[in-house]
Amino acid sequence: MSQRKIQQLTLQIHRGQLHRSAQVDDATAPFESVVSEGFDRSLLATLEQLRAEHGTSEPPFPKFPGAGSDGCSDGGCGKCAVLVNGVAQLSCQTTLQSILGKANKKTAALAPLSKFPTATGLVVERQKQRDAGATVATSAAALSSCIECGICFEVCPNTGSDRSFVGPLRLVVAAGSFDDQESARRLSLGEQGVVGCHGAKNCTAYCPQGIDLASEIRDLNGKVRRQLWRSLFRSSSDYASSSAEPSQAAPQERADEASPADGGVVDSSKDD
Amino acid sequence: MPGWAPLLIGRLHSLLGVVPLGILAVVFAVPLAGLGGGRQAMSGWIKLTDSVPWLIAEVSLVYLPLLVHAAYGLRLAISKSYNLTRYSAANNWSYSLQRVTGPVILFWAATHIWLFRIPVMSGELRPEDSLDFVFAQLSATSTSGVPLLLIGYLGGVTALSIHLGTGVERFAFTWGLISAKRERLLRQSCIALSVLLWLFLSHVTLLAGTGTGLLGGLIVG
Ligand code: SF4
Ligand code: FES
Repeated sequence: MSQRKIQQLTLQIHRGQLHRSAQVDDATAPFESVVSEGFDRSLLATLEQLRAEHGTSEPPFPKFPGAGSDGCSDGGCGKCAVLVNGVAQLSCQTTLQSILGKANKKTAALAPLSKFPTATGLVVERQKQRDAGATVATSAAALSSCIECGICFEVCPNTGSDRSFVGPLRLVVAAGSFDDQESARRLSLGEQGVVGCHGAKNCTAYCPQGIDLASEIRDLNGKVRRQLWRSLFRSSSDYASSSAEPSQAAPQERADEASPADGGVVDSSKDD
Repeated sequence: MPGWAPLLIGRLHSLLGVVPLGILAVVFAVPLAGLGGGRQAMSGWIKLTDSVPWLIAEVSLVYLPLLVHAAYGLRLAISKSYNLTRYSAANNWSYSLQRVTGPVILFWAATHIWLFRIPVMSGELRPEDSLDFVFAQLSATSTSGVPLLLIGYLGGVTALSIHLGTGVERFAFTWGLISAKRERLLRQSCIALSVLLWLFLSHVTLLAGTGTGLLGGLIVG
């Protein structure tokens, strides 16, 4: 009689900034836990259970995002995004079975999103995103269902703390006000803008809300082309007078306000 | 336009790739298509390419723009902006393939110019002899019997076909030239372009190197 193979998933939970350091010792080694049942649960629910078992102090157990009253557990707040074996996912929408796949034994390395400053444990610093929440929802119609999870920024091959590109979300926010705000035009045309996007379109492919950011960026590219054309044949004095409009922040100032590592969200309320 | 230089350079980069490669494709396709039709016609065309106006046009419309394109492209290709192993969506494949094929083409083109164009330009090789020289080089084998140059050429034409197809698609995206409705059609057209270009160039390369075209001569030159 053939015996049913026992399913087993080893969760290897990395500890925030520590997993990025070169030295690994007892204090920085990942927290490991073996799960052998309840594979239809979400990853977030599993992490919550582990926290209940091990306590919240750190170390040994790293903090994780979207837990308890902090998050929605329903794919609606975007706070629980983590890297599962290097791939950005919403942990409340990821079942253990989907991680395990057809394998019976597997290790899942959990780590914080790699392109954001890590606060602690699996939690990344996204205060800026929360502050700019209302702006994102209202600035571009296409973003009405955006949960500001940061996945589009994470999966884009051209974003990162060493890159100037502001990322897809912030570009789409700028696209929403490109026609009426000089700052949005400057952002789109500057070195942090559309020139940083090379059309990999991962933002569209991996957005958990199914938002087609790439199409918005393609339309923005058309606007940028027309603007560039107009500006090339406009006298520099015209340009100087338009750039001297009041309350328009310089590109570098804008970059400082919301660096790419903030998740590419611009608080365009400051433009008004 | 303070601060817009990167944008201008970025947009010029794609333009300086698509336009000269488009010119090259048309200019080379016509005589190459006649390769199987007659060596005489081919030699006549090579003679034409030896004229001064041709060389000026070749350098200014093709080599210089492509050099600028290659320099900027190489910078992008080595910028480590790949994540295909983790995110393998179709578009990411197209994007990554476009990036990695660039340096392959650069190496192949440099080899081609070094081996076949410079000797003609410097007068070391008579234009009327260059065709035989190309055939001889492509059919030459290493000591262990492997036609290394021919294999390299097949790699080069494969990279070129992919790079051009994915490049046209990306060009339309970065210049905002295509509507959402037509994007799918453009993608299919670009794939078709890559496949046709690959079939044609591989056929011609095999014909030159082995005397038999693609599919063992099922497609006649
Ligand atoms: S656009 Fe999509 S991937 Fe990006 S932050 Fe919003 S919900 Fe997340
Ligand atoms: S907890 Fe809100 S999206 Fe996952």
